[in-house]
Amino acid sequence: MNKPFERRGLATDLAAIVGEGNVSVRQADKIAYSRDMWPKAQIWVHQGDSCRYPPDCIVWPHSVEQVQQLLSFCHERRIPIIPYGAGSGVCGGTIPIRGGVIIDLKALNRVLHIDDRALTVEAESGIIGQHLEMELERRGYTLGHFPSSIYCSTLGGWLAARSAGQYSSKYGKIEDMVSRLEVVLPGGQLFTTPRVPAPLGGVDWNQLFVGSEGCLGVITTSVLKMHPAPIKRSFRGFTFPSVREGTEGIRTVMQAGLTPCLLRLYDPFDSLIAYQSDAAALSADQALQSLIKALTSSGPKSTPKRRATRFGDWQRALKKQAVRMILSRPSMLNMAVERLSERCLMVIGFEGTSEHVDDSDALATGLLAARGARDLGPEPGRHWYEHRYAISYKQSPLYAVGAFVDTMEVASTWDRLLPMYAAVKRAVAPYGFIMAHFSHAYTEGCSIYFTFAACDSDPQALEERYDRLWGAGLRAVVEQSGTISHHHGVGMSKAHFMTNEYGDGVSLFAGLKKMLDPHGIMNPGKLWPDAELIDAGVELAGATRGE
Amino acid sequence: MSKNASKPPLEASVRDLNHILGAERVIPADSGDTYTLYPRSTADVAAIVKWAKRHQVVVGCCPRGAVTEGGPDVFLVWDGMNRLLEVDVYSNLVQAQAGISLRQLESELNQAGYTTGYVPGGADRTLAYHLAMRSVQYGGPQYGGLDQLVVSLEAVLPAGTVIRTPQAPRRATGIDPRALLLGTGGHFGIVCSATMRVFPRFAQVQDLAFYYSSDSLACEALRLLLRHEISPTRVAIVAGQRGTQLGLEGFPARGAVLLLSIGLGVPGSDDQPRRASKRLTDLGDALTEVDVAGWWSAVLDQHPDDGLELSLHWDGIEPLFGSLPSGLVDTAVVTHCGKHGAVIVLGGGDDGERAAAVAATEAQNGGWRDLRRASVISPRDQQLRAILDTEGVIDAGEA
Repeated sequence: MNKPFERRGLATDLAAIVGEGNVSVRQADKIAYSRDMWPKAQIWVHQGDSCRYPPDCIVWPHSVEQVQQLLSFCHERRIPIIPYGAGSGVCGGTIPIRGGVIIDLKALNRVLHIDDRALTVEAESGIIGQHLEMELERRGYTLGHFPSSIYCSTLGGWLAARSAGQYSSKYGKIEDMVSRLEVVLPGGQLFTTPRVPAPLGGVDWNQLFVGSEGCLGVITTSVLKMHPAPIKRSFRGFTFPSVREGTEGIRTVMQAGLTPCLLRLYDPFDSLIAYQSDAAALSADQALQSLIKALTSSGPKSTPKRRATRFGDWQRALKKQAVRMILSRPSMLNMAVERLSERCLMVIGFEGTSEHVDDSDALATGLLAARGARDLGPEPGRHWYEHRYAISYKQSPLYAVGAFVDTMEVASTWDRLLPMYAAVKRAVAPYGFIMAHFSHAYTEGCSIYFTFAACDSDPQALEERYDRLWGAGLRAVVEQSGTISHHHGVGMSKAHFMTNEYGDGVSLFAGLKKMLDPHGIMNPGKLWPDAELIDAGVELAGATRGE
Repeated sequence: MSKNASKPPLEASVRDLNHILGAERVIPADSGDTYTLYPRSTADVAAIVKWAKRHQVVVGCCPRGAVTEGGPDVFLVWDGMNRLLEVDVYSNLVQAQAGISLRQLESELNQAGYTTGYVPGGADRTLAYHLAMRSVQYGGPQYGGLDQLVVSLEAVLPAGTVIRTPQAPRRATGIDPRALLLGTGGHFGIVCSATMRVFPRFAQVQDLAFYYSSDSLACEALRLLLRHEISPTRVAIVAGQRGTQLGLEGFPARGAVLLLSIGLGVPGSDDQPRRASKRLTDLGDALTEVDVAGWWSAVLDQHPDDGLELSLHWDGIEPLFGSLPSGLVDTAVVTHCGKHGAVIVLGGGDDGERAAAVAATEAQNGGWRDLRRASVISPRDQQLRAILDTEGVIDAGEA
């Protein structure tokens, strides 16, 4: 049973801090802030449960001082706090499972300083990623961080979840870019780290707050390393006879010391999706073609003329029915995919100075040709570049037919990459249709980005299928000694696998909670299961042992 | 945990330890009140820490070699844990026990055609020391610093449990435990082995040197160079007076020298020395017919153990040089250089001069570490340590 906190007069007390117009207890807001983009929460909606975990209040602070006052207030009264960026997370990282106060940081959205000599930018956490990048571009720089959610995610969210952008092979992940952080601790104190290009002695607090998913404090400001905007950019596509040869191609390029901004290899089915102009020609399978169309269409057209067409309605209904039927029998579909040509598409790109781009492109082309690649020229790269943020928006049609689609981004060193790829596909296949691409490559390994989809006419059964699918997939990753997340974070969705990831790492996190968040108000239920933290002696606001 | 009268006699407790390690690996000191232990594996270290917790014994694991007053009851010595465990040429990784010296590690890797690219001073010290100190280094942006090079760690925590960070290139699974284990002097856990990135060695390395009339000018030249996709394998700026102190033959007595090494033999790399020279001579002069390799050796061999290290972004470096006491500027070596900043190592100065340098660094929002001071961790870090090691089982010394 939860220990209740005092809810009477909460909105009034909060309004005294942030102003009346910056507090909401409206039901519509509670519904909107009760979940992020975690697909499981979409299943709850299908079950008719649109607000399973409502927050008590939503607040929009406009200054760091207000954030300090909010945390101090909630700390004193043991009220859970959930820091919130743009809600684009896909792991349930902002779900207010014990109620409490959502602190939406989007009003803290300023670029504070750009330093031309140090190549650093200081910005507030609530800024939307694309706005930050546009400001840098205007000044002749780039952060080099381009997640596919860039239009609908914030800097604070990137830091909280250890985000990666599409160009991480060249610029690194967000944690590699951090020079300094300003964090508000639960008691309201301001915790700042030195502004350094590289840490010296002592605990590297930046790397404890980055990835802490709002469980230790609220990151309000950060100084990040940026780069001169590229003078030239070049992309090229290749096909490989199989996934094995393709991943060997990636490994060869990275271990030759090249630094492509983009390097990704699509497995056979994902190749069809990614480069859809070839899809119909390559696939003779009607079911696959239907799915490809469903996955690649930009959603139902809604012009009045089309809506009025009975034939169009009938066609759409049939398409929905076909997709439902296909995704309800994932084993058959997965077997059908296995019959496809093994051919894979790779897209590689370089950016920077002209000399760097030209040299790298020539060297990579030679190395990949020696690995059996066929050069497709710049067209696949151009296609990728034009659609690089589109994938997230292509999932709506599947939700619309009562299916779920989700992604699992894992990583390992090269020696275990293909065994992990095979193991996850095998584990997930009974529960959902699965495909993958390889991206975020490094000298020692690579990430695999699995996409899976499934459907069930019974929403309860769909949730059970979802849980089984994830459990099977993550167990396979752990058995292959990979990491359960490369860049989406943990949230609620992977918390139960953290012991597999770190063993006794819970004791380190528990120590930090005791020091920084002694009443356990910060973002309950995320990163590690509450039960494990309570066993480690952590006090958690609103939680008791045995829940 | 401190030595007190209520504790059971150490001699009685050590009998259990003999069963764990074997009597030949449990050696009493002449005085009989302390023991030196020679573990061979992570499991041995975990067993020792669990035993210590059970018997209220303090385990000394002092990467810097200093111990606290009162002192531990038993000391760990790394002689039995000094092996290179595996070179994975497929994933370009090496796993080694923490007791291996950096020189030995590099030597074995070089024989296999690889390098870590990590070039701190003090190559004869153990990997444990460099991990515990997060030693600043002269390796260039081609390879990155220790935080980039260490992919995973295996460490024994104060409870005697073992943490193995996942052997994955990157992850998004919460806090990074390496932040507590690297650079913290061993206070948060005993690192027993590390998996690090390795890189194929270049067929040939070209050493270059450039003269500038001041440290600031040399830094400016380097800053501009590193913006242009040129990645040296080693880089440092050495103050003229420092070169004289090191006894470098032919080294200019004033100004500063930029030392640079660039790898050759890989397609696309052979033109880098020419491109670097072109940019670096905008503000200075190339030094030819000098013994750059010899200068490198002396700088690395005589890296100060008690340096004052100042970490700054490039915007803070020129103002800092302007405000440092001249006696300290003369000892300056700029290391750990990258596109965004560098670390200035000052090899001398009295306490007052060093305090002035620290104040000047803080005024530039930089970070600092004074290796003359006893502890490498801050009071804030100590607070966390007290929570994670409530019984004080691990004594990393100089706390």
